[in-house]
Amino acid sequence: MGETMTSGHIHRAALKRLFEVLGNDVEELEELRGDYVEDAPALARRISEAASKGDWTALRIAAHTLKSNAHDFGATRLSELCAFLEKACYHGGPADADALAEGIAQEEEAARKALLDVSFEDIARPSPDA
Amino acid sequence: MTDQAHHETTAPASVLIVDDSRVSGRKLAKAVTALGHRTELVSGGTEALGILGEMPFDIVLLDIVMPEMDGYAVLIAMKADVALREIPVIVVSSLDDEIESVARSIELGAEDFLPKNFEPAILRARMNASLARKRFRDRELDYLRDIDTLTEAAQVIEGGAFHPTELNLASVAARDDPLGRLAKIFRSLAEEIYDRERRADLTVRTLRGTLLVIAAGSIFGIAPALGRLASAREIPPLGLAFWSAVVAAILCLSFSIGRSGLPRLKLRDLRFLTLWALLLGCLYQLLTVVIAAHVEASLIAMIGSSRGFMVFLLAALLALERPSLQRFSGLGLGFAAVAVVLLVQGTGEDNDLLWIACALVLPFLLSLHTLLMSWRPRHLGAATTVGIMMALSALFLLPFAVAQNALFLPSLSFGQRELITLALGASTAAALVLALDLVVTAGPVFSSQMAYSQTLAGIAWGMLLLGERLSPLAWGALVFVIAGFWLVKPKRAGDDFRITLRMKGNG
Repeated sequence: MGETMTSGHIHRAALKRLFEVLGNDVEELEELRGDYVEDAPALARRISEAASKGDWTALRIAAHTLKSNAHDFGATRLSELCAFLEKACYHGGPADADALAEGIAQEEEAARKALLDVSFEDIARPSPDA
Repeated sequence: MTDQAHHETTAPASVLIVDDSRVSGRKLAKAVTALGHRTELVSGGTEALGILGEMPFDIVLLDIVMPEMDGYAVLIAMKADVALREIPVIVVSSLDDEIESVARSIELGAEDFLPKNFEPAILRARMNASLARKRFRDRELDYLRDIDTLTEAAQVIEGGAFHPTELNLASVAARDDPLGRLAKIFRSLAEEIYDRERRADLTVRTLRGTLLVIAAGSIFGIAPALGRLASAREIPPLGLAFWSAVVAAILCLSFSIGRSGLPRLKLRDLRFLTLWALLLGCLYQLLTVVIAAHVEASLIAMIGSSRGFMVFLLAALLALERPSLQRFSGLGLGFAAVAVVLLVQGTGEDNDLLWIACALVLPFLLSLHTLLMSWRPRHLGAATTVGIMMALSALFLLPFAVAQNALFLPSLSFGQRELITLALGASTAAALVLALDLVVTAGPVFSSQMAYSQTLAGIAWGMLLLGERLSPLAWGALVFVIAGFWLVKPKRAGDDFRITLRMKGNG
């Protein structure tokens, strides 16, 4: 578990996969992480605002985007929370939207910090099994 | 896979990525760029349709869930647009929970789908498959378009008069396939037929022009003989010129009004006819009378033969006709033949050099007259044009004839004076109508050779009417003058020349 996860919030295998999709380009991965770190808190805020207003469409779209971004960077827990919220929006909206949004905000912050701690030099290094 | 098919599948393409997420869009763009394609990334549906209208794309990678305008709306708009409906769209979807949205996208016209967490190999395979289908379809559309172009070219030929440039077959003929070869053969056949028809047209116009030059020159050539008859009967030249203009005007206008009613004249036409009447009907007639008193008639005729060169130079200067050594040689051959006849026939009288130089004005005026005829109003018939011009000439000559006391009143008993006047008026009218047709048929340079036929005809008419003898030299000269016609050749048909093919079996 410790070899594949970072602080329990980031799945290193997903990062490795993203690194390969980007053509093993560390610089590109750094820049993309910069985009994620910049966009993720804004998306979490949009989720909270939409939840408090009961705007299920805005909530669904924001949850959908954060779900995909989190999935790409290995924030599996965050991605699952967003997927649950998105699906709930398709079925008339969640009963406890504010609580779910709060949970997503907390997980987003934790995952973002964990992601910033990841050294991409390590990700770029070939695994011992390879 | 053939080399061509492999090249088409892997050839760089222009890819539009539409995704509201910077992270997803940028990840996709990087992966697509790694495959060797060019990418443009936009973050919304409205922006996507905007850029699709401005730039050509080979394929679109489209996210479905987006704020404002979503992927479905983009798909519907693209399929409704003729210019965009052939661009393949691959929807990008989180496959795990969006099966329904993928199915709906494909129903709306999407080519394929791609999961958000795609594998690069899957991305490459789906893009290549879509691009291969798109390129095959593009080739099909090109082929159908080229068949349409070829069919339209056939319709142009079938439809009537055509010019090869109107067939627009250059792009089809550039194809390296059987359709291209068919277009090449079709085009070269059309061009060959066109050239052949153009050469035939030139031959016909040379023959027609030659006949008209001989006919008009022969009729014009009667004037000197009639002049000598008039002189022998002491008929005043200006009076004769006035009355013959009146006769010509009455004959031409009677004919044209009887045939097509009253002419519709515009102010522009009147300006042209006034200028022509002043030059030919008035100034030329007056100068002829004055110069004829000082220069021998045969010398005037020889100087008059230089008209061909003058028209040649003026037409070249005014860019009416292209000069050539062959045409210049033809004019020279005719001039030399006429000059030899006139020199041998000359009486040896002394001529004042100054008056000889003045006599050059006469062919110059006739050259302007020849060129003016090529600018005549085309909506007026030849008889109408000549009739009005001769009426105006009579009007301009009247004061001079009165001042010279040369205006006689024709007798009702219709004697020789009236016969000469009638013959001169009728011959002038007929010759000018023929000359107008000649200038239209063969151009001014060819028409100017009328000076030679006119001179030779003058000698022939002298033989018939005055009992003069036509020397074998004059007959020889006539042969050389006709040879000159074939060297000068009529003006070539312009680029607007069209031919019509008559199709067999077209009911």
